[in-house]
Amino acid sequence: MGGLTIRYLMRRIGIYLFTVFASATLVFLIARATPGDPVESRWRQIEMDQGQIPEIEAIIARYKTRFGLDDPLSVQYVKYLGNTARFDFGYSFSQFPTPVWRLIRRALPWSLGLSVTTLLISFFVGNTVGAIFAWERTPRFIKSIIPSTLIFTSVPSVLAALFLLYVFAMLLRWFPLAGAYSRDVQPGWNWPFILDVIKYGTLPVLSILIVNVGWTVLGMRAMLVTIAGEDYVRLAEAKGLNPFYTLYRYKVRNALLPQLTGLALSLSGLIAGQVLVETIFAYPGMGLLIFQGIRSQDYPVIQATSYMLILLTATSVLLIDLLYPLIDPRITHDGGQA
Amino acid sequence: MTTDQVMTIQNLSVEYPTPERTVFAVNDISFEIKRGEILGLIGESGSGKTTAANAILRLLERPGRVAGGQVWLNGETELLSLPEHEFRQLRWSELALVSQGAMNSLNPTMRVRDQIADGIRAHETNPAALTKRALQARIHELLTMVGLPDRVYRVYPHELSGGMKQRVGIAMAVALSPALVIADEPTSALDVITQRVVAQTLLDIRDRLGISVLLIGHDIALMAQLADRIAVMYDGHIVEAGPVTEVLKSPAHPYTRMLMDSMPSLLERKPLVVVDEAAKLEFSHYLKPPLRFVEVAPGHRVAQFD
Amino acid sequence: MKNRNVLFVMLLLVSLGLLVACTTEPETVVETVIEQVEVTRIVEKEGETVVETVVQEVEVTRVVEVAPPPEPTAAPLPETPPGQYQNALRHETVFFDASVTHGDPANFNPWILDNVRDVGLHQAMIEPLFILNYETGTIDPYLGLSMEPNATFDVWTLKLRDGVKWSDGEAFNADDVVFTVQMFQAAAPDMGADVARWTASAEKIDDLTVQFNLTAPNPRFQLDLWSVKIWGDRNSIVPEHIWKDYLDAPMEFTNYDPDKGWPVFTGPYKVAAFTSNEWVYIRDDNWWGVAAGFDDLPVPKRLIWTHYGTEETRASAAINNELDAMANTTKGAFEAIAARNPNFITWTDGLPYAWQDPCPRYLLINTQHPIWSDPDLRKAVNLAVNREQIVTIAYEGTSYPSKSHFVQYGAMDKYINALEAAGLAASPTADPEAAKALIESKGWALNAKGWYEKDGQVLTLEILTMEEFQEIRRIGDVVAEQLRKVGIDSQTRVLGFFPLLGAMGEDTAQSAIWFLCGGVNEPYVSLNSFHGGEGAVQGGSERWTGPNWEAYRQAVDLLAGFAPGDPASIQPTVDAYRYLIEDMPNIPLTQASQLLPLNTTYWTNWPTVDNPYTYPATWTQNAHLIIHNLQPAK
Ligand SMILES: Nc1ncnc2c1ncn2[C@@H]1O[C@H](COP(=O)(O)OP(=O)(O)OP(=O)(O)O)[C@@H](O)[C@H]1O
Ligand SMILES: [Mg+2]
Repeated sequence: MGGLTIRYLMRRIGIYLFTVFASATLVFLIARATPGDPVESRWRQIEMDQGQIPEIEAIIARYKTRFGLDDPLSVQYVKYLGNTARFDFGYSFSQFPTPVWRLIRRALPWSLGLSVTTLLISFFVGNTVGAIFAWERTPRFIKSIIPSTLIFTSVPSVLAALFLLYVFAMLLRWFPLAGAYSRDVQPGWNWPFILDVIKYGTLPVLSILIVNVGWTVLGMRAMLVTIAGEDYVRLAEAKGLNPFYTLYRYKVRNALLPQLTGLALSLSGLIAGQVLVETIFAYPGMGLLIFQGIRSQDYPVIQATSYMLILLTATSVLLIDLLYPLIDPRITHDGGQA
Repeated sequence: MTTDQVMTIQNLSVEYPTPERTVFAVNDISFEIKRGEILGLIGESGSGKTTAANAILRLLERPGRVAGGQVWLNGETELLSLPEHEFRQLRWSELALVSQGAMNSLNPTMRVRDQIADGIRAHETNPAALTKRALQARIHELLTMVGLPDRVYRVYPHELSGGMKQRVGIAMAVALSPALVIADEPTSALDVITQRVVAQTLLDIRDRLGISVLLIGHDIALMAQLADRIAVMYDGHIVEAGPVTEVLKSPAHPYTRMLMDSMPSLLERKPLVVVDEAAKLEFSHYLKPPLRFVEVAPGHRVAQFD
Repeated sequence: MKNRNVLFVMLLLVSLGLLVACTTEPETVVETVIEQVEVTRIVEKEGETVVETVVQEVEVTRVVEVAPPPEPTAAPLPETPPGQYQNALRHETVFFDASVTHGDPANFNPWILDNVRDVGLHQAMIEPLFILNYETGTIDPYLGLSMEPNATFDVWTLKLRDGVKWSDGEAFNADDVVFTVQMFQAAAPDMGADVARWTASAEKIDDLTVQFNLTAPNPRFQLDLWSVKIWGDRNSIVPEHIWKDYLDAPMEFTNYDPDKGWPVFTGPYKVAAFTSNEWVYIRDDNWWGVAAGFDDLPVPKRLIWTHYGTEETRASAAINNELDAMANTTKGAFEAIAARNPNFITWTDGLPYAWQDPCPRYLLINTQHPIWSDPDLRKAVNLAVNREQIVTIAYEGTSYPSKSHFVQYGAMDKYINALEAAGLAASPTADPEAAKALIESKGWALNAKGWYEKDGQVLTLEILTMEEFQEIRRIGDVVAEQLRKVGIDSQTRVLGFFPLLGAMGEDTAQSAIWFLCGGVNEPYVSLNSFHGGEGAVQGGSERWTGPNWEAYRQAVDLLAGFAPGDPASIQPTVDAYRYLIEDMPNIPLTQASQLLPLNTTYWTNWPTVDNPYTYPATWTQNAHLIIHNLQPAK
């Protein structure tokens, strides 16, 4: 705890801000580097879906002015940075005049709910199962069924999602096919809505979970096998402590730090998987927003959602970093390991 | 408490069956530890000292297993056949361990006080001793006993030096005044000065609490300073045992003599390796169980070697 | 990697197993019976050959289908009483495929781009003035009764139906129309751009009559602007008494306030609930149409548009009867659905299944390319193309070979027939020999590799195709293959949508697979797109020049003056088309395929090729007709 110095904090936050700034710039550049004019491209595409649009040239010109695409690139960039810092992402192309922040404000809670739930479950379940798997006192038959639960580990989450969809939504009809809650409930803090959200969230969460939890399980197991050879574990054994206590306080606890690092590293992959899973289940989160944005070439939405995802990932990694000293007293954040 | 022997080891054998071959790490050894004495167990690297200690503590690593023998605690309890949960009750309260690696012997994510406390909590039956305050006082007392400053109470292991850690290990081991502490090379990872300090601590504790110690090590000089009696191990056998002065003054077994010749200088610490391969080959020839022992002086026994 | 494959196979097997386990076969029994049969045989009898017939008993084994147990006599289905339509039962509800989700679903402004309109707003609520019938070409009255031009097509008089009411009870009348036109004029081009362009002023003559004074003559004023020609009527009339408060920024008006009963339109449904992927509309039993004698209430009490994430999800929903009308679906997905849920039908019973949308596909060739500027070579390509084969391979049978550049709706038949009679129609099959002869007549000869070559230059044709558009990529691949067969070294190059637009503008571009959503009941709009001049759209043949082009332009301009569908426009169409064929700047290939599965489990009387009261798209505004025509199953 004492390891968290102001100097370190400043430096770490400095790095964080730089990451955010760099990614904002990158998002801006990538959007401009794509060949073609996003506004025109978008309108031509609408024409493709809806048939000829009268006066399309005038509409395109109007939109370019409206979205500041007539300005020189440098002016656009400076404006963009200023606006982004204030989370002002302008208007959505395809849902003009809806401001992008309103779309994000609607989508973000769903995505956060999904990823936080997934992460927490994945972390707790994964590490628990991993610990059970590695523990020498676990009955053999339990150990032998654990690997079969890891069968999805090497499958992309999209396939897992389709599989779950097929079995549990289509064949068994235990869960709904798409959406975040049903038409019959009133969003708010009421039980029917909350239960509905859980019901609708189960398959998306599971799709990401069953793919990722395996890595946590295997990581935990490997860590515990290593730790089992440590002197302090033998000493704990010699002390005649309660085996559960030993398992938790001496083994698992010491394995959690590397597991947490692993979690931070896998975060971006998790989020990428979630984008696809949200798309499959039409789950109204950031992933679906980004997907729809790409489909309708809605550049303000694409920029804003990518930026937000990077921001969130960077923030989580920062938080995990700052959490380390709470979990491992050896990390001082001043000179690494003492 | 009926005998003056805290521990009696009879015909203990341990083997490690590995896919290639079975290693017979401990072969039919017998010895006893008297109440309040420090018994030094000495022998070259790989001779089976740790294996023997682990067997007594029932901490053998896979694939090791006890192939035979008995271990009697206080002459009344046979440890190897005791059910797991009963043995667990004896751990720490009767049988404690000071482990070898000073760097790794403490849990890095637990404060020193908690690591001392959890052993006490697991075995202390008197609820009055378990109140927060009683525990705190007891731990402070233990730390003082091993010569550690008060602040150690609340620090994490990484904030301690190697010698301090080892003294924490000793404080921990004696927390419940066990009948026997097994100290497996408690000083080998320390510099020479610290070695002496730790050794002295051990000696003080023994004197104050009357705890018996099985002290494993290669450092004959250290043994001479600390141990009351000494047992010499070679290739899983105890080849010679007796009062430390007696054995060091007149070593009877050729292996003991060789060991003393190859004793490393006081300033360098390294695993004990006996160099004379030819001689070792010869020993293996006559180290065929059952060994017969002859008593060359009172309490000084030597395996027959011709 | 290997592991992954094994896993994948396992997954498939598990899925298959489940599939099989859950599919119920009709019960069959093998039975053996003795039957008497008459046997006719030829026998030698007393040196003579005679034919005799005898009766024999034989054992016959056959597989018979056991009749399913008789269904219990159907009790009348329960009904949801008025006021509770929000909870209408499954058999009272129609489920539609929604093409999108909407990040901000509480916005019912019809001019928001991303198709909030087509998740129910313009199918259930916004009624159009007129609806064009693709088969007959007639513009059928809806809220409007008639719209008549003067002789010079620059003054149009709109007569409104009497008795039309907004859902809040206010009368729908000329004031609303005039107001809407004025709103468009202020807000163009965000809304009503074409109305603003063509209308100088709209005058109220009386409550039910509006006169439009145009900025220029336009025989297609009603057709193009007010008749749901393609997708929807972009120029929906809005209630003045509500929108007048938002006249300064009508695009910002969300048009949603459940307390006030907004959105207010004239349709027989109201918004009941929505999430970001689902919109629920319930029937408004006070709909004006009943009192006005226009039509009965539609039968469905509830309409729901749901967006299911991907085709797999949509197919699962369909199999589970959670969808009644689907958007475009691949053939594979449809067959999977039909196998599990035989109640699904399509526009045609059997291949091609698909209905053709108004955007036929063709091969666009750069007429200014050094090689391909020769019209004879372009004609050779036309001869080498096998349209039936494109349909068979690229579409797996789910489309129609194009006979001309036009979409093949009933309303276009008279034009296409005239082209066929004039020998100008496209052949469904290829004539490779004729193609080769034509190429060779221009001095090209086959080289050792089998390509035509002249002056050391190989005859190549690079076909640009679109990455986002699998159908177009596949057409491109088949065409390239067909051209290689006659000795043209043809390859495809796949580009993203916009890079494709850019590449087509380059001088070195050779050709592209393209499409055009042109006229659906008259030839002018399509033909006008091909000359590259004013009014032509991107994807026409901007580079086409020369005497034939000049003549074509004049012929098309002449066509502009005809009212849509005027029989007198047939001959001018043939005349103009002749110049197009003469120079062949682009080559018609196939019609555009929309495979739209429709579920008859709960609802029948969907539009089909045998019952074409309208077309089967349900994201388009003509779906008003479908909803009014649906009948409960059984
Ligand atoms: N887990 C194991 N598996 C197989 N063989 C083992 C195992 N542990 C120890 N041995 C073998 O048992 C023998 C005795 O080893 P042990 O560790 O008891 O020696 P030691 O006397 O403690 O040596 P040191 O002085 O180096 O600590 C050695 O030959 C060793 O190779
Ligand atoms: Mg050892």
